[in-house]
Amino acid sequence: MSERSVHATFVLERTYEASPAQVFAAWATPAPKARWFGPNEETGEYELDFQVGGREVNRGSGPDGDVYTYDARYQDIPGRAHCLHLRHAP
Amino acid sequence: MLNQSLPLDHLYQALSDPTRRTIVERLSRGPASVSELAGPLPMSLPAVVQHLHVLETSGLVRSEKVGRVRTCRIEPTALRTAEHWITERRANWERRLDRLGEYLAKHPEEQEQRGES
Repeated sequence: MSERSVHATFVLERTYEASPAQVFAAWATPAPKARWFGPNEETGEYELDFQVGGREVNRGSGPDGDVYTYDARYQDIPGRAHCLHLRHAP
Repeated sequence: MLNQSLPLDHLYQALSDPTRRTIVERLSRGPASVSELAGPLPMSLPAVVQHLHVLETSGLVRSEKVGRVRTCRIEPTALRTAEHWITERRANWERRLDRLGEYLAKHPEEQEQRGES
């Protein structure tokens, strides 16, 4: 069994008019993900290498002018269902 | 804007202990003396004073001594700072998921790999 760190969590639930494959692609492909996850402004920076060991960087200015950097590494990608908790609308 | 990282370190460190959270819960119902706070806690008075010291350093609790009695009270702004940080993180994700929804609505053509639906 792989080791996992469990931190505090919170849950956001959304239902989209889209297939799980489409939502997964929007999450795992750099260009689409930059559109919704990346910084708003032109000066920002976004990169994504969606694989185990891959890195995701998101840099942009907040409303206060400070520059925030999100720098993540994917330690584990347990599969599509786990990754997104995809659910079809009834 | 707030340079929050140092206060946040202290705030969350202070809140990471169950005894200190019990004290915060008690004080959120109103001010109390050190001995009133210590009464129900299964530890020595010096141990309670230690916990109070951590809470005071974090800014969550203020105390003043009148005569021989030290009265503690909650400092609501510090609690709000801790709350604000969590709310902000959540709001960021809500905004992102809004944008994801907009993106998905604008790109229905990419649904060729449609699932079982």
